Amino acid sequence: MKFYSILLGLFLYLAINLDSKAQVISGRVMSLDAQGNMADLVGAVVNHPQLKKGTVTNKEGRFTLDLQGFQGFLRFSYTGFQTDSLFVPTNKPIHVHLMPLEKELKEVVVYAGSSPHDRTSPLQTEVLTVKTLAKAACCNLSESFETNASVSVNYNDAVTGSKQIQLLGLSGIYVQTNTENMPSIRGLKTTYGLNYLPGTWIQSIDLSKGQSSVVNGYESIAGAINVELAKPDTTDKYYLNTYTNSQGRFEVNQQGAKKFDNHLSTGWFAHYSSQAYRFDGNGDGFLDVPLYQQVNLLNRWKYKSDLWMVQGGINVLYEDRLAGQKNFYANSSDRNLIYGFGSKTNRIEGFAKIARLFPDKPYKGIGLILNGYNHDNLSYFATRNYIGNEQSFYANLIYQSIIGNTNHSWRAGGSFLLDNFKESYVGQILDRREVVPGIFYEYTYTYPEKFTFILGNRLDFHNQLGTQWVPRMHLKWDINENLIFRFSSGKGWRRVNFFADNFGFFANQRSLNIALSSGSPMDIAWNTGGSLSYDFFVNNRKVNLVLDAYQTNFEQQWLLDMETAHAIYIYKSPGKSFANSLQLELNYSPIKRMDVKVAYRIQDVQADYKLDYGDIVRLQKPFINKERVLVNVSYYTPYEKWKFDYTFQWNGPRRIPSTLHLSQNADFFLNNQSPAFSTSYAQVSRKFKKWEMYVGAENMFNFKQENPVMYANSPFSSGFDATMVWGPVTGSMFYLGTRLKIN
Amino acid sequence: MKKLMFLFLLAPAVLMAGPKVKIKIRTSAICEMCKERIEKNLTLSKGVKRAELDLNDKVVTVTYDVSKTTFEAVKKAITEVGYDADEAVADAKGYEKLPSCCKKK
Repeated sequence: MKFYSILLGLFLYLAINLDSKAQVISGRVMSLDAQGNMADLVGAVVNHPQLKKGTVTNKEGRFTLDLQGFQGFLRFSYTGFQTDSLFVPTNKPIHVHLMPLEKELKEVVVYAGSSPHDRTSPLQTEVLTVKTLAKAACCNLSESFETNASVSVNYNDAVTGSKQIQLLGLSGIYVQTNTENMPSIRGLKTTYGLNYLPGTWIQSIDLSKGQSSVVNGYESIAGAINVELAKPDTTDKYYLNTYTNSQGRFEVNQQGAKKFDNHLSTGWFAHYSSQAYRFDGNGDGFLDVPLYQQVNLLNRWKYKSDLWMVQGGINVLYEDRLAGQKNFYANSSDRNLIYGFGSKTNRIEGFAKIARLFPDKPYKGIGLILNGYNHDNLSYFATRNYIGNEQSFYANLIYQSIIGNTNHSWRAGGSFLLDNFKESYVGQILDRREVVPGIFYEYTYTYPEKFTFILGNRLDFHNQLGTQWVPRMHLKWDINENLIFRFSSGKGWRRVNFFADNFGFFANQRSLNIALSSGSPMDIAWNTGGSLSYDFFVNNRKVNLVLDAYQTNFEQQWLLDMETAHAIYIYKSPGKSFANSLQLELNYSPIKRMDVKVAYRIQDVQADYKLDYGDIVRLQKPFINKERVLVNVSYYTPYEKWKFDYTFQWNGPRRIPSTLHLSQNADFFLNNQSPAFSTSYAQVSRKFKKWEMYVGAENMFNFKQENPVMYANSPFSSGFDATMVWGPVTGSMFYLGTRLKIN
Repeated sequence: MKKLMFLFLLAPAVLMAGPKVKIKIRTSAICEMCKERIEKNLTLSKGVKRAELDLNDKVVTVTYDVSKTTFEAVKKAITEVGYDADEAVADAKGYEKLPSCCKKK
């Protein structure tokens, strides 16, 4: 029967094609689920948005559409399935597979063309897929943003190797970083959290700028990152990845998945990485990259039926770091004589996600997210010891439904957080227990394909900080097919972690002064902004232009003040603190299989600082570059046999805290500004039938900050400071990796 | 630096390249998915420079390097993913793995 229907289809196609040459597009629309099952979709909508012409598929799932010789994107949609857009360059018969909408509790990601920007989300969202991540080595989350215009990744210091991302001119602590909608990089994990998520585990990253949804909590201020990990039922049966670089780092990732039947599946993920070579490229006697060993294991399970989806897993992590002077050995060196840094982390984390589905009412759902962990860290900066332990439990219950019809939908629920901290640094003890029950409600109004408005509110009852109200709104207006306007505004807040938030800044001999009495230990901010996305066509190829602007205004912010020599002051800002960011990004595919991205960003980030004797002065926040340019060009040959990728970044000057009297290199510090500098990255990969090989280079211009460690030869003098870092510490680096997949 | 690296990478491929031939093989491809499977497997096979399948007559045009692969090996790359190649019959294991729409009936 099927044979005849295909024959008939072919005959029909030929007949039509012969009838009206170069005029008519024909094809077939089928469903394709995660198990690989396919079925004809009858009545699926096919349209050409620009021509405003459309049709529906017949009872064999076939369609024909007269495009009058035009080219461009055809849109395929079907209720309960993800809408897809395909560029239809010629009049060959096309075969489209639509994927069912995933009923997990997450936003559905749909995209078209080469732009990483999500067209359908009401939030300004960029989606980094496996393909984007493969553009660079991406050993872990911190390296995933190399080709991204919005996020930059900075080292805090030249010793510890702790990294922080930066978005809209604000550091990573103001970006809510979740894994599968569970809080991930927060609390004590802030220090090295970006290194604790291996790149091969990542399936995709959603990056939303501006305020995010109230459903995921109160902590987002500048934006939110949600990382989706590989799912056991859709990922490769076996995946082996190795990586090695010219500085002596080695990584191996091994992961496997097993599907027992259509319901139950499990995945095993194992990561091992190490830096065993004592690398001191600039010859200052300090290790440029910390020695470390990391073992990171994840086992996850997934069960799904028509009514239930249950996922659970456990993640165990061990990491041992060592840095400081090149001749420092953890067991035999005297920490009073040789500067050493050590940090040992043990972490165990468990999670469960339970969703009840209503197959006859796809708009309805109940979900429960549970997450708990124990995080231990023992560190020392020479003779200054740090001990940290965090035990945390989080639960989030979400119910979603509609009012009348799907134009009015809502989500509501409650969350609970128990967070137990035991921390001490140089004898100062900061223990606390946070108990935070919260409730939220979010209403979404949709005028199909034109307009979306979201209004969310949440109330959290913090045992130490009292009741906090968080309102947020989002708006998306499809002005026309090619022009989308988004706007968001809302509040966010977070409990300050005095040690973990500023961990890297302890790599000096400054005294630490935390003015606990200057206010309640929380950051509160309002973020407002919007974006305009415009698509136009050059030679029938889409160009996507995105302009976005955001402002973050702090009602209250705890500042790290390094403006005084020999001391770090942490206190509540006595006045204003704000961050303005403007970015223009262009994505274009000038020829087939070639993508070009050009982006320019300008930021103005200022805060009021206290001077020694009570005066208040407004300064640009240090270590944040006002301007940045990013260019990314990629090209691949058919079926990605060869892939070429090149990224260029220009980073403008940034302010350095005034430490003139400490400086060994007076030129830089006379005007308290770092010079501008450029870095570039390139990668070539070659695919074979079963495996893939990639080679790449980072920082190809070999640009290095001179003297990243001040007074490196007398680390116990008061001038010693490894935290005045504004540029790359290491020079050019080459790497080689392999990926072997069996599916 | 970048140019050097590219040269370094590409040099062996360029220097070792032998004479190329272009051949045509009739396949049992049915749809776009079949086209993709065949082209992908051929493109990633040793010695194959280019592969393009025309769904109208089901003929795949393959350009390959005679010093690295043979006509027989090219045909085998088609049969192993489940399609007939001229007189050669599809490999049963490969055929089993085909999505339902790509099977002959």
